[in-house]
Order: sequence, then structure tokens, then C-alpha cells
Amino acid sequence: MAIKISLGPVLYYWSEEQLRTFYRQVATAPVDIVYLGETICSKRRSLSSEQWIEIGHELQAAGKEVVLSTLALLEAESELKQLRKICKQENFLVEANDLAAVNIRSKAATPFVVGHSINLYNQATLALLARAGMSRWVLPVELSRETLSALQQDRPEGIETEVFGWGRLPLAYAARCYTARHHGLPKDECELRCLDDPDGMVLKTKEGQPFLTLNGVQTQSAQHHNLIGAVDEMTTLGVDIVRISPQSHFTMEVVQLFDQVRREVMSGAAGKEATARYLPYGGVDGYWYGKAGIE
Amino acid sequence: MEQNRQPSELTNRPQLPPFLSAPLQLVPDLIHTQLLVRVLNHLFKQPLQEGELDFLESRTAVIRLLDGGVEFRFTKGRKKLVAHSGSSSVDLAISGNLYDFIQLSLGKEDPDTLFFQRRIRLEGDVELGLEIKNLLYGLELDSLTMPTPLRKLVRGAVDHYQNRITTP
Amino acid sequence: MMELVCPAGNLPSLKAAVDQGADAVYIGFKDETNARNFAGLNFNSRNIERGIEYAHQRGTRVFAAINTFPQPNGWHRWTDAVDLAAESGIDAVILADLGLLEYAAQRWPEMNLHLSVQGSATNYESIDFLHRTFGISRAVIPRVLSAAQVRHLAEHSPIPLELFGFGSLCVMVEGRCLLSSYATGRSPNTYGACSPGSHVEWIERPDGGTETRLGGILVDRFEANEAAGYPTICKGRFEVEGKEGYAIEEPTSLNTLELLPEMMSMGIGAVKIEGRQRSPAYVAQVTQVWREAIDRCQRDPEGFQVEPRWNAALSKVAEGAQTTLGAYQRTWQ
Repeated sequence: MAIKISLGPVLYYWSEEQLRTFYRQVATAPVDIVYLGETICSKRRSLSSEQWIEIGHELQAAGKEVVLSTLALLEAESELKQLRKICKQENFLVEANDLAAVNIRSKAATPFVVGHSINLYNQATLALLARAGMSRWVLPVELSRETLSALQQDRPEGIETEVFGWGRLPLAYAARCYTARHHGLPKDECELRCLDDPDGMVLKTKEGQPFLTLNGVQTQSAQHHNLIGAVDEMTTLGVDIVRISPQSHFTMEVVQLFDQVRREVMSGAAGKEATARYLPYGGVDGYWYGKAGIE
Repeated sequence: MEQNRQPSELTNRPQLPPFLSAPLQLVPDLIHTQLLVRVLNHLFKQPLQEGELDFLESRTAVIRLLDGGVEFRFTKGRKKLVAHSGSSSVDLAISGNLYDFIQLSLGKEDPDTLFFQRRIRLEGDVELGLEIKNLLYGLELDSLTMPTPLRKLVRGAVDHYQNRITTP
Repeated sequence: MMELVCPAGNLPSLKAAVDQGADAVYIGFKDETNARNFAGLNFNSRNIERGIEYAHQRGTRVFAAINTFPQPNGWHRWTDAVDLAAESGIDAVILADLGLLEYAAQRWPEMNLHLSVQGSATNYESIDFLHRTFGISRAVIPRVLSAAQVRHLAEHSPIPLELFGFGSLCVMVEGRCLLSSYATGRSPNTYGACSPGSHVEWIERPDGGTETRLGGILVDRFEANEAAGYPTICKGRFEVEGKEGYAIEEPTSLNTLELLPEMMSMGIGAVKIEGRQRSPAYVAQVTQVWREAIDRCQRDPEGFQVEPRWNAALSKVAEGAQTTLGAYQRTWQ
């Protein structure tokens, strides 16, 4: 069976209208799994959890598997409260991006996906989380195909593997909001300025090289991680799902290209060539080959 | 809110009085270096035996005394450190004023502090620099066999000099 | 009793910390099993025993940080490190990886397990998971929470917390920062070094200025009269939409001396000093100040005031020669 395509959660702050338009397109796109919800900042509330669930049902009706994704950095009690609410709902599977969600779901004996911000680097961790109720894991983005291959060999039965295959790489999470800092505002009075940056803000070196993307409390790469050329290899390694991280432009075009490659209508190399026009600062795939991410 | 902000401009860079550092220039560099490596081989006797200096093999480091106008080039031979003559390229350059090197070698100043203040500068193979720096940290200075009267004399001189620059 | 936990990258530093009154000293081994894997630093099996002996004779505890994440091909190096620590009579191991926590809990059931800051625990639900799964007895908390959030966390955590008091400031959640990895391919998580020396370039320019690069990426350019920093990406100067400056963080150090009474009232178990990569002179200076401050605060928390000479001594050894309360103070965030 061909590898499945998933659409990761939207990592940026988009308006309600932008989100609704986007997910209307997703309903008819060749993706199998859709991750919904806010994973970066609890102040971003274009949609309430009820509205997310409503979109989830619409996508489910369109034949998609829906997963509710959760915050990666949980600090305040209000954030834990919201997390418990998502973990308790029974409509959809939940993606844990912090051990807090693992704790809540495993105590309730309900399954969960382990997202790429939880450090699953070896077989012992894989087995342990599987026993705690994990049904799927996403390869941490800095790990290579060699590590993946070793983990696949010892993967417990019934566990699915997902790989982050397209998008700006999630690189770090912080106390500080860099968008607010850029505008000279304290984090508590940020005026939700990241709403102006549907793909984050590019950070360049003093010699003008695009290097990172600032997205509120998250730092991403400026370059797009692009594994369309490795879809074949992933299939060989028994990877079940390849993830595409939504961007404000051309996400559907990229989904189409991944779909053609997985159906072997197009070669990986041709796919790589075709995606080049959707990469404002170029593509990288170093992590997959055990090198620096920026290579 | 940041506290204890200090000026980032570096105004106070102690130097030894020229009459102390100047005579160094009168002696050819290679002779300094041969003296230096002899002292270093003495200090690093145990680490050398345990192979902890093997990382220096076939790599050349240079220590530049900016106010003394001299430099010491050395590398590791089969068994011990040797002076490196010739003008081939160096892997690592550590430069600073004599005063700061004395402070460092006596363990009176934290090397990173001097480094952050740019009183000691590293160029070239930074990993080699870190390795040398960390090796120096790891030496137990009080157990070193620098003759006590000499050590007291040097410490006294540095204290005296430090007092002169901090209490004008 | 709030414990003072001090760093030691080698034997002289360990002795300096013990002599200046640290309650505990933390160390690492000479490989990628710890998060300060720098050339020439750390302990081998011979001097770990000497260090533990020196410390125990003087009533100081010793912890071993084995706080990076093993991958399948290196798994045994990490379990060997846990075994070596246990067999040497270590008082606690500081771990981050879930698999390794499980190994240590099963193989050495009597040993104290601390969660490393690399374990990224910022809330009590995650601490609860680690406590009930592995029986950890302490958690070191990333430097990302405000004082009010720390208080709330301390109230709800099933185990005591250890907070950073002083040292270079990570602004990212540790264990989840890939900035250095992205530029160099050597990750703090797996290789144990942020900005490894092998990928750092320090270039003096003809005009007296300096350029620092990491993996070829220009991290900063300094004028001749500017203080320079070691090139960590988060403390570099960059351009964002036409504004040039420290987009992520200034090169400052964390200093929470003035929060001591508050930390004590929260019941914080320990204060940690950063800096295993620094010299014995640094360890001695910082330990001395914090010992005096903690003792003073324990005797009289209401009357506690920070002595200017303490801050002066700490500022002198601080990265960037400035200090900040960091995230503990909300306005910083």
C-alpha cells in the first residue's frame, strides 16, 4: 500500500477565514490524515476547540482521518486545562507534543500520537511509549534515515511511523515571543502581531543569508525541509505516513506533487524539481542523510 | 529589565609596563619557544604520559604576546612538546598581552572572562583552542612543581601590578 | 533546606566547589553522554572516583549528568555511563532520555534519578508522568517559566524542583533546541555540545573587528572596541525585516540572587549554577557568593538583601558582563 499523506497542524497564526478556506480545500485534496488545532501559542484563538471539532467532523465526512494536536510548550494552568479538555474528548485521536498529554492520555488508557517535539531517539523509548498507549510516532526532525531504519526494525506491533517531509523545520521553543520582541512589545501585550505573518518572519545573517524563521515562541528554519525525493526510501523503510506542514501558499500544489510521487506517476527526482518553485529560500534535506539540517 | 549593565566598550585593558615586556623582543623567538616548551613539558609531564596531549600531534599552535611583540610556535612530537620553527601555517593562534597570560597561568583569572572581554583572542581551530584551554583548567596548579619562591615572586608582582591599575 | 548544586568540568573545579561550600557538585563523562561534551573537559573512570572521594570526605554529594539522547547505534555507551556512575558511588544521575530513565530505574533501583533540564519538563503533568513511571525524585526546570509559574508548578509537583540560579542563559526549552544542530549537524541532544568548537570559526578582520561563524553561518560581526561572545546562534545578531540586532537574546547571564527569599518560600529543593565548561576560578568565585547568599537568606529571609559586591563578583564572570532575571520576570519575556 502506498504511503499515506498527512497534513500537520498549521504552525502560524491564521485568521478564522484563512483557516476555514484552507480546510475547505483540504477536504478535496489527496491527503489521508489531517492534524488540527493550535500547537504553538495559547493566545492564538481564531477558532475555539468546539469550532476545531466541527471542522474535524466535516473533514471526517470527507473521508479524512482527523487528529487533534496539542501545545508543545505548556506553562500556565489555563493551558493544562485546555489540554485536558482536548485529551478527554472522544471524537478524535490526540497528538501529544509534550509529556503532559502523554500523561493524561495514558492515565485514561486512551491512545495517542507522539509528535516530533517529544524526544523519541531509541528503541527503549519507543517500546516504553508504546506500552503507555502510543499508537503512532513522528520521527524527531533531526534524526536520520539510519536511526529511523534501526528503530523500524524493533518497532512494536501495531505502531505507525510518520516522517516530517515538507515544510520549515520546527527547531526550537522558548519562553520569549520573538515576534513580540521584534515589535518592541512585551509578550503579555503582544497585540497578536503574528497574525500579520502567515508564514512567520525571516531572520537573515548580517551578510543577508536567510537562516531562520521567527514564529512567536517557535523558531523554524528559513529553508524548507523537502523529502519528496526520499518518498521511495521511506516506503522501503516501512514508513506509514509522510507529513506536509501547511504554508500560506502552494500547500495544495505540494500535496498534489507528493501524491503523484507516492502513486509512482512521477519520480522522486522529478518531484524534487517540480517543488523547487515553491521554495522561497531553497530546499534542504540534510537531516535525513545524517548531516546538518541546513544542507 | 537588565541589571548591572556595564559599558560594552572595553576601556580598561591592562598591559604590563613596556620596560617589563620590551626586553622580550631582544631575544629571538625560537629561543623563547625552546624555553617555553621546556617549562610546558615539565608542567604537562603526567598528561603527556597519559596521552592527553596527543590531539596536538601534527598540529601547530602559536601563542602571541602582543605587547611583547613575540610569538611562540609549538607542536607535539612523538613524546613531548617541541618548538616549531619554520613559517608553515598554524592551526591555532592565541593572542593577548603578557599581563593577561600571567593572570591566566596563575589561575587568577577565568579564561572565558578574558575571552568575553577580548583580552585573549582565539583564531583558527577553535576546537584545538578549547582543548588547550580545558587542559589548562584541569591542571592542579598547587600541585605543580614550580619552585615556591619563584611562584611567590610572580604572584607578588601580579598583585602589585593589579593594585596599581585598580587603585590609581 | 535549599541545596546549592555547582558545576565541575574537571577535578580542580570539583575541589573548588566543595571547598567553597557547595552542597552538591555535578559532573559528566568524557564523551557525548553529557550536554557539555567539549574537548579536554570532563571525567574519566579514574578521576571520577577521586572526585567522589574528595567530595564525600567533606560531606558534599556528587551527581552525574548523563543527559543526552542515545540513538540505537550508541545505546550501550549511555547504559555504560549509568553503570559507571552507579558503581563509582554517585549520589544521583541526572537523565533526560525516557529509555535511559527506564534502564536506570530497573538496573539500579536504589539510585536517585533526577530529571535533567534537557528533559524539557515545564509543567506538573509531565513531571507526574516521569515520577510515576520512573520514580524520579527531582526535576530541573528549563529557564522559560515566570516566577509565578514556578510557584504554581512547585505547589503541584509531586517532587522537589531544582532551578537555575546563575550562569549562561538558554532562552529555549532545553532538549528541544535544534538551532546548533541545524547549522552544524552536531546536536546538543545527541552529541552533547551546543556550538561545538569543531564548527566554530573566529576570524580577525584587518580593521581590528572580529567575525564569528558556526558551520559557516555568520553569527556576529564585532567592531574592534566591542566585547565579543562565543558564537551561539541564540546570542548572535541578525536582521529581521530591516531591523538588525539581537533578535533572540542578548549575551547575558542569568542571575537570580534577588529571588532567593521567594524561591525559599516556594520550597524549591535546589539552586543550580551553570558552567561545567568554565574554569576552577569561575566555579570558586560563583560558589562562594551563592553559599554566602543562601546561608544569609536561610537565617533571615525577611531581612535578606543582595550585597552589591555579590552582584559585582558575579557580573565579572558573566557572559556579556550583564545579568538578567530572565523569564522569571515576565517583562523580560
